[in-house]
Amino acid sequence: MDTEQSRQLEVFLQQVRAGALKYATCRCRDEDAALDVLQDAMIGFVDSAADFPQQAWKSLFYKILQRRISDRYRKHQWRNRLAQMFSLSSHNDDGEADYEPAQPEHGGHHYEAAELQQAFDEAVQALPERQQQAYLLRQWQQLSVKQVADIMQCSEGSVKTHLSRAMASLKLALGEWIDEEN
Amino acid sequence: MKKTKYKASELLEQSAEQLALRHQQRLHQMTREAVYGKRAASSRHNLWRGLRWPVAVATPALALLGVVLVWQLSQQTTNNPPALQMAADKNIPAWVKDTEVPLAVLQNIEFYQWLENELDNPNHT
Repeated sequence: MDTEQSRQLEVFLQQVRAGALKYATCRCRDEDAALDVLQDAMIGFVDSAADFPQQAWKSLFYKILQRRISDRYRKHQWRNRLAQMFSLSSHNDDGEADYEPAQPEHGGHHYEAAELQQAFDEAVQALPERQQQAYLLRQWQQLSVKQVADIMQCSEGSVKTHLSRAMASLKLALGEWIDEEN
Repeated sequence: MKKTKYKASELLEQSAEQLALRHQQRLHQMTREAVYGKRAASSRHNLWRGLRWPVAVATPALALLGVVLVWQLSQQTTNNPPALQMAADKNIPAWVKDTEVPLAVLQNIEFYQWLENELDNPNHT
């Protein structure tokens, strides 16, 4: 890898790392785990980025990150199953596997900006796994439906369905304070 | 009262920036490590995670192959005695191998002749 390409990779990672950490934290529900996963994804990305044009880097990076998150999730599922088998633990310590739909408890309330920030974070966290993925990648990271479908390994139609359900849940949870028409 | 609408992407962006600020140093360090390969002293990375998958697959496969080869060799040694041993066995008279009548062997003069011959020529067999 030459110096120029190293520099480009460094700049790219500097640009995406904050968003990627937020995405990983939403998915892992644990900041330390998200940092570990992100570190792995960065290393994996740098190893394979040379084979792709720079325009495809963002999609590639999120694809690798999503794989690392899925690997970690599967590992934890197995660990939890084994723990349950040996009765070491009858509950999910990290709470990762418990995905519940958003509750419309804040609907229609008035929010201060900081409160809204927190409520919005909670509402995004509460989205079911696939809806959360579709929402964060499409609405926030502005990846195309095709790219999101590639990352989520599903059809474009499924992405649209997950996305519309996610937006409906968020609207229900946060009322009219969120403007999605952007 | 006029309601202010917030854009979801802006809220997420703010939240991401706050999160990144809290972990600024580690993010900077992991970026440098990823790009420039400075992976030293990362206790969270064990041997397997550092290796590429072909090595991870090849190592147990080679170990298994080794175990199978050793097992097969031991089976061959048990079932097929070496050629030298087989040649030696041919020179032993049939009545020596006959364990049913050991007394007959001891009483047979041929046994002592054979034994004397063997002692005189230890390399014969």
